Amino acid sequence: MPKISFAALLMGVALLSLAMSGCGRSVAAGPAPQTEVALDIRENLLSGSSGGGATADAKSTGTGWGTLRGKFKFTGTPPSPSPLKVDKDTEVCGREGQLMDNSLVVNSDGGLANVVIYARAKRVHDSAKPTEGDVEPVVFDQKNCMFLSHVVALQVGQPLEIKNSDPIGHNTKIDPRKGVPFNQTLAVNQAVPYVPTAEEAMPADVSCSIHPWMRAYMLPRKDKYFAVTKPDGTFEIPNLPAGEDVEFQVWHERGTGPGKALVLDRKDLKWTGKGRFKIKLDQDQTTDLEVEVPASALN
Amino acid sequence: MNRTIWDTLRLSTLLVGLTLLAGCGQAGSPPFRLNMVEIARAQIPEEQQQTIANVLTAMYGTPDDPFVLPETGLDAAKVALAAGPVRSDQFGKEGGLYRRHCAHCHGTTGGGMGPTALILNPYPRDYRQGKFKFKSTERAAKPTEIDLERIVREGVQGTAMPAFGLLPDSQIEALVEYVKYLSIRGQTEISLINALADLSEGDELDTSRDVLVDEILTPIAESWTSAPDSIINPEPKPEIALAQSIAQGRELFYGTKANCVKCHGPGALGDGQTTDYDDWNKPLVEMADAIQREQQSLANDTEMDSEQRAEIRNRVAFDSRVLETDALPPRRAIPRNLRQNVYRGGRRPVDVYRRLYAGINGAPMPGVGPATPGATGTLTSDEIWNIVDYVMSLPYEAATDHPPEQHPLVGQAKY
Repeated sequence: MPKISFAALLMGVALLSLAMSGCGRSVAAGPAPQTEVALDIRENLLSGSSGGGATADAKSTGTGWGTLRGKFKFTGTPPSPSPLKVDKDTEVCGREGQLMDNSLVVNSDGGLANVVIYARAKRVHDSAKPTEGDVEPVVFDQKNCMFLSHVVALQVGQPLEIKNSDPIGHNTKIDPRKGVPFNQTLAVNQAVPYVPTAEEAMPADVSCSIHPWMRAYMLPRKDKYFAVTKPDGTFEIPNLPAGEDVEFQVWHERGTGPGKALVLDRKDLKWTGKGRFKIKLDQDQTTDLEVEVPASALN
Repeated sequence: MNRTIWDTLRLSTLLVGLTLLAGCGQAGSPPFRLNMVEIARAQIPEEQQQTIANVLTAMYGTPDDPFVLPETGLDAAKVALAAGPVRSDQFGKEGGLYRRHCAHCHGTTGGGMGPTALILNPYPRDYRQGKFKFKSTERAAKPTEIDLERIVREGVQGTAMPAFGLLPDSQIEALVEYVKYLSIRGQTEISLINALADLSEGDELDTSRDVLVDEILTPIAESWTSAPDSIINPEPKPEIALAQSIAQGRELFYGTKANCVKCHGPGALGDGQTTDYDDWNKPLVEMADAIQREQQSLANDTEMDSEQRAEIRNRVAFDSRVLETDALPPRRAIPRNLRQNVYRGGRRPVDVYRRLYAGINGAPMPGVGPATPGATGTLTSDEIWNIVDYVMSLPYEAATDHPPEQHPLVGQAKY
């Protein structure tokens, strides 16, 4: 018997040392590449043939145009906004009272402001195509150390006229994922244009490095199928493709989905974990949509 | 002793010995790691992570067997010389240069997470976003090859990045090419993640040439090849006395036009704005905040159904693991202390000019020059030169020489 236990002990030491050497350490590095599949893809890239995967755009099946109109409504009692920590330039930033967090703006009727809703349409009506030539700039001002527009949606190529109406300096930092990033100092009363160069899938962060509580969002899109809900929570997007499913992306600053997508439990609209839903509009009709947003859908 | 014991002893010794020698079952080289932080942020499911791993291997190969498509604009021979295990051939020509000189800090994947990264401050550069701070070009533009060569040759003053000036030119060029390779690869990965996040439910990524090369790779590669077009060439310095230029620079430093004082502080000690993060750390902080919020909602929200609860719990577990194993603890971006006579981006006046003109890409530091060529800057070229003179005079001036509170532009409690 002692012989066996000695042998077992030796094996045990050996296996333990193997286990402790770090083999099989679990890391979140994701799956390893599949060599065969990779070589096939490479073959395609080198030969120039296309193939594999789904085609980018499915064919449009409907005809005519319709309007989507709606309202986002916060259900339950909205939490009262918390004060922002203002520890800089207090004599300017606090001159009209304590600055408050404006990431959740709900009116007395429950209307949820600053929701961005935009279509990923297969057909685009002439009126929704990008405006040719010079486009009217969107004014983006800052006063009392707050951005006056909190959420801005605009066309690719449409200038954002960044202004500073404060008696102190600011800087505006824009961090789009696809387009050109921007970060320039803004002197008192200065205005600087920023022209978005690429369509973004989700609104980009806008901030001020000097005053870190300053936050805004900017979404450039190629077509005009976008809307930001007004203070009463309403929006309207006209001339959308009718007679076919149109996919909409919905975003809110406090959304819980990827990129702050607003994820809701609306099975009737096939609402997804990416904050998208589909709806079929009727030709020459306005479709009304009421969307309830419970507190649990927001961070 | 009988035979069984000896056999066991021999086997055990062999096992222990092998373990000590090899360290691990897998032979040799570490693989490229996926950008799990971006994957977690975009909530990319596992089967799509597999697609990313496959496509990246198709387009870029492995650390030991790199591959470059001609459309990358990269020199395959240089990449090959820098890649792979440390080696030298019979004529003494060295290979595996990246692993020999760079990987222990910058990591195999170029994610800035090599074994020594954790103890360094600042952390080594993560190349995968294609963002570089110290360069001669416009803010959003890529660095030129000369910019990167200069960093490799001279190091980055005030950081752990050493000077590799003693390496032969051919090796420095190969290393720069490999840094570009890792950077273009990392940017391709981020673009793939964006493209996957953009897909509608049930759709798969089109892995044809049209998408992978034309839509994803080409814009990235072009931004690298066009970098020399974006070099900032300053106007000549104004012909005024140095003392006057310094005095004017000082006015600007404290004034509301250039705003330097806001972040660099009244004593230029870098203590004005110390709570912000750079572009590499900000996503990590946001992820950590989101985890905290979701944990709170799990604890407080009683109306949530079990399905929703499980989903949030999984996401929190996954994101926490990613932050633990695929990211370094986030650090705040502290503005430079301008009295130390240390200039990370180079100590020539033109280097400081370019830092002011374009700001520092990836960092909170804004530019004061025009954001795009032809646009209006916040400061004129002369004014930028004034600040260059003032800033470069600061290390030679006693901090008590001109107490900021005596400055006419400095109001009480203004900062």
